[in-house]
Amino acid sequence: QLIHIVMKVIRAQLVAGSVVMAFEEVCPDRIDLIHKNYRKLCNLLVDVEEWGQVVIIHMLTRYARTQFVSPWKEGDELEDNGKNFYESDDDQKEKTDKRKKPYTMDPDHRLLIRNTKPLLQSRNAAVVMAVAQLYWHISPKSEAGIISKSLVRLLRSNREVQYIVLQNIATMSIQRKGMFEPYLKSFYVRSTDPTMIKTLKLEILTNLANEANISTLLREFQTYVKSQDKQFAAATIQTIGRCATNILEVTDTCLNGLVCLLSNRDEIVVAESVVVIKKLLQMQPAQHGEIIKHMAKLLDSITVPVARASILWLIGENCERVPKIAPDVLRKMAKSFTSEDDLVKLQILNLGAKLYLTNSKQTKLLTQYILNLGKYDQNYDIRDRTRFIRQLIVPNEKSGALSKYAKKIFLAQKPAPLLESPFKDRDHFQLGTLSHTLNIKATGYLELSNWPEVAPDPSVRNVEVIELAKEWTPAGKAKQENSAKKFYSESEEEEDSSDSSSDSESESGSESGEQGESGEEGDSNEDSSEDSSSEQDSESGRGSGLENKRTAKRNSKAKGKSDSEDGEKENEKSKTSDSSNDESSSIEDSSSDSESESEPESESESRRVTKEKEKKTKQDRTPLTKDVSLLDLDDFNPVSTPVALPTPALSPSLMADLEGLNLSTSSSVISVSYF
Amino acid sequence: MIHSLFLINSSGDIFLEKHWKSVVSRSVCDYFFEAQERATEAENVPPVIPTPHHYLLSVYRHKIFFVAVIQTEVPPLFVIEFLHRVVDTFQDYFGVCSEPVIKDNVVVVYEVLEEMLDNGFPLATESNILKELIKPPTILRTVVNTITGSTNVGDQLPTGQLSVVPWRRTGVKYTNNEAYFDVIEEIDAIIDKSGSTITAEIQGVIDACVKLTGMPDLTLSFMNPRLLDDVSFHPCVRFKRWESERILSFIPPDGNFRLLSYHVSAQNLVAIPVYVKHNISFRDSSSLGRFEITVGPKQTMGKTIEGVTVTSQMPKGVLNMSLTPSQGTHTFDPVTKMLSWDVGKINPQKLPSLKGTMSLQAGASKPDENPTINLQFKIQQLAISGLKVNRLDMYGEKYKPFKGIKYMTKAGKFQVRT
Repeated sequence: QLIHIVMKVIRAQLVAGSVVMAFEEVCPDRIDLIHKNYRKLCNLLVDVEEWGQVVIIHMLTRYARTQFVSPWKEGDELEDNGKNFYESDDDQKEKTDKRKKPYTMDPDHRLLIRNTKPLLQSRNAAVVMAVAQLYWHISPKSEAGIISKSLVRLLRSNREVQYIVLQNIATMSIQRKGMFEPYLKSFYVRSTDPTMIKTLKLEILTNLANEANISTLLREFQTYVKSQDKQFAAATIQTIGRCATNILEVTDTCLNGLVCLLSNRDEIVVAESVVVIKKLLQMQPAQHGEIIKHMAKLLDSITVPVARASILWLIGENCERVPKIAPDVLRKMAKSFTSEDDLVKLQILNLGAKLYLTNSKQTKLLTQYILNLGKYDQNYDIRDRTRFIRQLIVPNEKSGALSKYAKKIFLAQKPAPLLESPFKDRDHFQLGTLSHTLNIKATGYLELSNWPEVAPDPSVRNVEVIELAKEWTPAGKAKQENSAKKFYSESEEEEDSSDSSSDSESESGSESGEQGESGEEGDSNEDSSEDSSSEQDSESGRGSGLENKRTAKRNSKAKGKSDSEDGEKENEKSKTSDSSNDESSSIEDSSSDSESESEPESESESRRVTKEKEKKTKQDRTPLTKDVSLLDLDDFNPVSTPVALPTPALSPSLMADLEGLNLSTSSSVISVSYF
Repeated sequence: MIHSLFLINSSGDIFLEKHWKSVVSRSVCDYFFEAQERATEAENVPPVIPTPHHYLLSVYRHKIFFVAVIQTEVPPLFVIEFLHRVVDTFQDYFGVCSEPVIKDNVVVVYEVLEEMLDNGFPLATESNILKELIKPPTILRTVVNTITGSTNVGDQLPTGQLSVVPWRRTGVKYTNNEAYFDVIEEIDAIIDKSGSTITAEIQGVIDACVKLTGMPDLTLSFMNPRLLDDVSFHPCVRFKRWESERILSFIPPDGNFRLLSYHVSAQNLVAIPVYVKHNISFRDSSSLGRFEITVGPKQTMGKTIEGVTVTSQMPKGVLNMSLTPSQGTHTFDPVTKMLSWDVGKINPQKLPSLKGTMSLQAGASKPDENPTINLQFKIQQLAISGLKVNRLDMYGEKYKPFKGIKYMTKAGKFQVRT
């Protein structure tokens, strides 16, 4: 019953945020409950307080992912559509018809995307992030670009906000480089940034690197390498390595630069470069004898275990290319074996084994000595490895078939490691969530479902429109008309009302001088979209007189028109029912038209559907209106929405007009219910 | 959502805790202290720390960690943004937000927190509404309260909260009605060694102080609104008007607020008003290094540059510096290795400079990198982007307000690499 309460209260604007929060707590997976409120929520979104906005947007994102088909393959399908449209070849036409229907975005989907756009301008970082993730997850790829500007703006804010935003940008920049490329310079590192911010920025810079900008980036990286923050310098070296592997043109330049870094005085820098060089060399096993020799020399000075291990591995791997040095290195290592780190010991064993196989004359004794040392080591990993290697390479009577292949086993071609972004695997989490930040599934995280293959019935949301539209038509005039007529008159009225609204607007504009108050009111009404305030309620007493007149005039006009066009309606009926059914797609009007022409069956089908619906609504009508009017006294809100509901059909400018009108109608209804 | 809030000072003491749902033991903060230890610097403490049963989201401001404890999935920015809002509110109430001030006003702090979060969900975060609910402390009120035993919790519900303009309270009255707007622009720039600009961008804000009676409806228009590339508004600004006419139309909150923050489009070249000449060199052999900086004006449109401060984080090897400035004062902290030079005004005839030597640790090798120089400055009466406010009109009220607009350009994150 809690759920029922929640659903009842969701109508009010002022508490919408809190209600959705409650919804998320109580029954986050009851997505079916949202259907009827979806459009209202979309329209209210701008006026809800900011904390509510965040929660609502997150909920609507999940909702949209379950209810609409994916807009992401739009490109190909639009082409199909174009072909269909232009080429009159019958064969072609049939063929394309047989294929998937061209993608047209569900008007409700469009509504959500459009209504959230202004919120990108919010001062609240959480709201901006929420909208950004909404765009990322549900809008067509071509439109997601607008979020990058706002996200970059957030980078000016406190370090904590920066941290979260940068993380999200990092994930986005892996998948769609282009989005953030124009803002490359915004991610340049400042010496005063905290280390975590620096590394995140570096990550993004790496993701954005391409042939065009790599030279500037490398120059920038050079300054970073010299940074006093050694942790950051090390991260930069890693980054250079990644750039080198990703962009083949600069691999050599990077490698040279890294080799230069080997003579750096700071040990961490050197160690890091060794590790990176190792990875790079592994990727292109060309003639790099010089570098390997250089690194072998470094063994005397470097103490960082990872770097030592890397050098040893590299020498072992290339022991045939540096036949003179390798045994010498092994000799040195044998001397210091006991004092080495475990990691290094393992690599010494490896090196010994490899040399034993390739150059057994020189190194046989040395290797055996090392194996003996390893046998009594404290670490069981090393003892284990020793035993394994001994069995494998030292021929004895018990050795199995494997030892024949020892050389193949040890000196097999090893695949080069892929230097990948640590943010690669984060994309399965919804952006902007805690789970995404931590890269762990947090308690209570709700998976974002995949797009459905087939869109669920969009009419579940439509129901609301019809019901509400009825209460919206003032004084139950529509009751007398038959339902088909109602459909018609409604859409007619909409158009009409938009006309008259523009009339009244210009009127109020001109009159504003004389009646400062009312002009003023009209002004504010236009902008504060569909809000039914207590304040304006009180004013509606005064204002409704004037507005009542207007609406009355309009209604009579509409009625007259619909009467006079009654005759025409017969043949237009099919068309109107069609258009009122999906009440929207003015954008894709042409496509739907062509569709309806080519597919008469579907058209008739849709007509049938609407007829059924009409019937249903007819039956429902009487109890419903009662119910609603009861509710209305509590909150005047629902009345205001239906006007805006069909708006997707109208162009933005028209919509603005309509919204301006909105209040006048709602106030008239209010006054009706008062009297 | 937010279960508890802990306030931790820089020495690691929890000096205030507040629980909204159930009491979470203080021991949860141990995870935080662990992370703090690992991070060495306060700035590097990760904002999000997972623990086995909770998640700790923290914000570091005014040398205080505000640590929120949450249990389930919630957008992290939601919590972080809220914590920042809490800090802003404290600042608004008490002037400064510091440990002693919070301790002095513990009652008010608890009252405010109680109002801001309801069962873990943000409730009243607008300072206008909060102030109506809980009166900010003044000396007079504390005296009265101690005598009469009353509290400073407002008697009635705030009127504004349930209206269309939740940010403004009703029944505001002033004898002189005034509205001031400050256009403040900040230049973020990185200048490289040779003096060429690597990145530069202008970010601006318009801060307003509006003290007007009743429910005024203001419109503010710009001479050149095209300059504004990316904007974010206070919720009071009507977005549609801006979209269509590029006019800011709004019913202002009472008192101080940030009306707008904007970003000037990147196409416009940014005029950098100052230059820095530097000559910093370390020698390999000796333990002395040379240090010389000169600051000069460049493209200032005839305005003087004031409030110049130069700060620089010197390398660890530097033991001490003996410097002589041509004007202003300088300090060098041998512990943090932070050099700061308070220059003041720049006189174009006689450029300020700072010269001298650095003594390095004996035997230590010379540092790889020269220190970066951070610059702060102010230019009054100039918006560097060229943004100009055209006019301000008021509707809805009869009186004539006093209007004032001030421009200022500041250095944001202005760095010179050397």
